[in-house]
Amino acid sequence: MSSSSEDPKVEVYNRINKLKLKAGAALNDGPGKLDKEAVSRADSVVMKMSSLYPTEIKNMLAGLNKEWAQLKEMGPDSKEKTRQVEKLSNTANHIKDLGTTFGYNLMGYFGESLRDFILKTDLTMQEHLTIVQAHIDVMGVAFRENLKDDDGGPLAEELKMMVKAAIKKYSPEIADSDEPAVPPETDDGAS
Amino acid sequence: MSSNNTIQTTGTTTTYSLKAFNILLVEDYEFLQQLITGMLKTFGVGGITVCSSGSEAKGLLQVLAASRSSDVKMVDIILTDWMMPDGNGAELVQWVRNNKEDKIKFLPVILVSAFTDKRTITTARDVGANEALVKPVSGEALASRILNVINNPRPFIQSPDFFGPDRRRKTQKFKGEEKRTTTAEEIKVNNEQL
Repeated sequence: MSSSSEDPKVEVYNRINKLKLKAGAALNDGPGKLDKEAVSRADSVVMKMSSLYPTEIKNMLAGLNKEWAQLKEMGPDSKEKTRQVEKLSNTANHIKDLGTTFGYNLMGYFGESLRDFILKTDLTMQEHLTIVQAHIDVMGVAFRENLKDDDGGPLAEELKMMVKAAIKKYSPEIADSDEPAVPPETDDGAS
Repeated sequence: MSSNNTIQTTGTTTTYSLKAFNILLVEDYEFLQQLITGMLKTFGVGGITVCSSGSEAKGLLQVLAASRSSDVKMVDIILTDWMMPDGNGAELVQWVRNNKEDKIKFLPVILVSAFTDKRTITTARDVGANEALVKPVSGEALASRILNVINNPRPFIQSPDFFGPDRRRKTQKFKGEEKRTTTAEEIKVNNEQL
């Protein structure tokens, strides 16, 4: 590397673009691309794996129920309890991922809501336990009724309203603390 | 300042081959490991290594960086989940950027997150991630992030409180008062030579 300052406050590293060379282009070539068909084949992987969704989500919901039952049995101050809460939040996050990946947006919605809610709750409060239970119950209904979209009719709306109302009633400070979301795709690549 | 190593490009557009690439996927959820691995395979990625946690990834990267064997392929791109049981993806990126090994600290990192709030995206940028990819992952979004890493690598910046790819993606003209305290003499430019 060549340098231009003795006592720098800031250093800038211009590196050779070895990935471009590795991908088969020359350094002075314009921006390259990936084969369009390969990109659409990637989406077909999602389509193929969607047949596994019912079994996978069933297992995840069973896991969630089990983790929730274990959490309820733990003492109020146990360190294990914090770990269990994180575990439950992680499972809820997986449910969110599964739902949104395969177009089950209602399931994704409840997964996301539980993931965020559980980390902010005071589980010594009966009201908060009720809200977590409400999430788990509506996820069970969404699965049994095979509700796919978040605009999937009156039942889907009713389930969403149930959870929203429970949070607002029993935990208004959490209901009001949501940050505005940013769109998934930003024009600068999101970072 | 970052233009010292700028190469005049031709109009040639290459369809990339990722056969020689080794991508490290860090994801704790096995189902998503399979899904993303399947997608990367369709792109023709030759080597895909999967780790289930940040600590596993750190261990692997250390071993790969220390290896002198020509049979051992270093990772080219890290694709890491944000939320994992043993620490989040941001911690892994920080570890990568604070690493002493050049083979590790300059690695491109794409953070994959189910969180869409502004704080997460800003954190991803400020810990030194190159790209952020929001779940659910589509073929096009995944391809675009990988392409961005290959087509538009940004210079790395080392300042007292940051090391990572330049957080400014565009140079824009500014007509206001000059408030920067760093002078041109205090900036050292390191141009890697072939």
